[in-house]
Amino acid sequence: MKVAVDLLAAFIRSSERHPHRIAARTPSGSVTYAELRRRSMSLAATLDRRAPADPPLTCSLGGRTPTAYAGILAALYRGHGYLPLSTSHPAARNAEVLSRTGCAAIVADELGARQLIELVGRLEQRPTLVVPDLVDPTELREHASGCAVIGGDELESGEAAVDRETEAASLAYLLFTSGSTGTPKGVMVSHDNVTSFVSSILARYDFSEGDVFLQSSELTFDLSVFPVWVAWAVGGCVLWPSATQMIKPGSTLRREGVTVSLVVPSVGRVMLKLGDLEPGSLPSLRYALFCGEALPVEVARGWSRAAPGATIENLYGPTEATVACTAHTWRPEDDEEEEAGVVPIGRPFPGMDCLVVDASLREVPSGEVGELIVAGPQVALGYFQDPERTAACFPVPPGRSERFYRTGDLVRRTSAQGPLVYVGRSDHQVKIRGHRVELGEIEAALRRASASSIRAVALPWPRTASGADGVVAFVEADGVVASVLRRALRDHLPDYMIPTEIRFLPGFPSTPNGKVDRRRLEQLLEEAHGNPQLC
Amino acid sequence: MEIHSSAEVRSLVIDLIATSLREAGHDPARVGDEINLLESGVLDSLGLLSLISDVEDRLGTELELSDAEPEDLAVLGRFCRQVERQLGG
Repeated sequence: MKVAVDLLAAFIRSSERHPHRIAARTPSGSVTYAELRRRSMSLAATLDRRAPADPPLTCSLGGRTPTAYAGILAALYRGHGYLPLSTSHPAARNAEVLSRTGCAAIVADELGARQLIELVGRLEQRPTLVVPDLVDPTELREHASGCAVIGGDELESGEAAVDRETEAASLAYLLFTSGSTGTPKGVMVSHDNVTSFVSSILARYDFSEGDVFLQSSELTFDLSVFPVWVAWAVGGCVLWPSATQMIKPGSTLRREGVTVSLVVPSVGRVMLKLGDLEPGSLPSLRYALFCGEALPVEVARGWSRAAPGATIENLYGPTEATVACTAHTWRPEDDEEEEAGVVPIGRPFPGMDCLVVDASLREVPSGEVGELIVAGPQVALGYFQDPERTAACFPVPPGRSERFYRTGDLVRRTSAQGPLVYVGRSDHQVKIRGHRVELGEIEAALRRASASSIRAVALPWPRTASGADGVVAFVEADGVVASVLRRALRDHLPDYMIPTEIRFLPGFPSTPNGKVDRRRLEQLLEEAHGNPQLC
Repeated sequence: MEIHSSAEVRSLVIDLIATSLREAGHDPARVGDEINLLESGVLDSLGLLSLISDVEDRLGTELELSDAEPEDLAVLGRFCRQVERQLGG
């Protein structure tokens, strides 16, 4: 089956209409549609010639560069799904993901090439490495014995690339999110899923080629799917600022004339604190969109004052339902719909079905809290090489014929027709600065790092309206050195998952049924942080 | 805490981020003023926020940062100068 509008076809159409418009601006330069297309086709042609076609996955490893974008486009030109990896994640974690997927084709920008030197020795496979930003890849070649290494001077011209038909059910991208057993979960999103998402977005908003879309997150985070593919579908420009610019993005948004921003609410909180949301300071912004964690009303209010002309919306969706599947338009006068100071997550996109259910997956009456489960064309294919977890998380509820994804998010429907309101998480998953984190993954890493059968508990701390700012770990052991543990964790976990503090206890408090009493540990933290002498 | 000289401000800041510096592979005793704490992976934006509130706690004053450029907060030497300027003012 051929997809009517797929990501690549939409990009190609925009590049034919607007070859000289800027497709992307990054800290390391801008690139026009024509140039980005040429570079992507050249990478695809090179990989088609030099790398195996299987598995149908091409990795783009890098930082904030045009090459990282060309890498994901090259994957689609090859008829592959893209696997984005960021150099801001540890080499060991990236190596683990690459080994698990067996990915045989990697495009890396300059930073990515530097990480490859450290990473390639840890891989089980010998992938083809294309490093277009390096004229002289000698050093990488020395470290990557057995791998074909292709530098910038050895690329094929793009003309050899062929247009392939895209299967609707085939993989568009594979993203790894935190997993409770200690291994990241690979979420497989199909072309059908993402086409449906982009179509809903294009129907909801009046975007055009004049729009400048802020990309506030790495390509490894599915929020990036919105600015990148929506901008390219309408012929607009994606702006990917540096990490420094994103601390106080206000001046960047003004200077670059950003018209559409999608950020996690944490970014908004930092801006409030640093005085970066002065009233009227974001006049060009047409849409201020939030997604990824609960949106505190004070953040929505701050943005509304800074961008009085902008529509403010709260989007909601797990990676497993392709970026976002519900939305709520917030107006400053809409106080009555707030609950516990957070903005509702709204109503489902057309074609998506949202149910609020109890533990047996039966709907609860409106007004009651239950788990949100979602069905429809945006529900992902499942977890990579994990049929058991896929079956558990994507069940068919009683009396239904469709697969639903269990989000693990607790919500409440305010009235029969009212918007959904986010209440909290139903498990040990938490949002740390907008990133979805399974506390179990941190606990597993702590156990691994201490190389003994200790017990470890990770707690979100300090908590915020939208999740938490960090993690504090408790370890049931003596004689383990915190700095040694932290160093070992650094090799395996991204920054936001590293505990800000590790506390050692001779024994853990237990609940009546013998489980670790997490609530009691949290009370210890509350007591300690209320008393400066224990801090 | 009484802080008078720029050396004292710098040493306070280094002290507060020593662990993060070490974890990102930098020696706190030798790190240069030009290091960008964000781009080098020492801090992320919320780490920077907690550095700011730690500095505020230690100095007993609230920093006014609405005029600061992102680089004034991200680059170590420029961050220290921001703090000094506010103490001087």
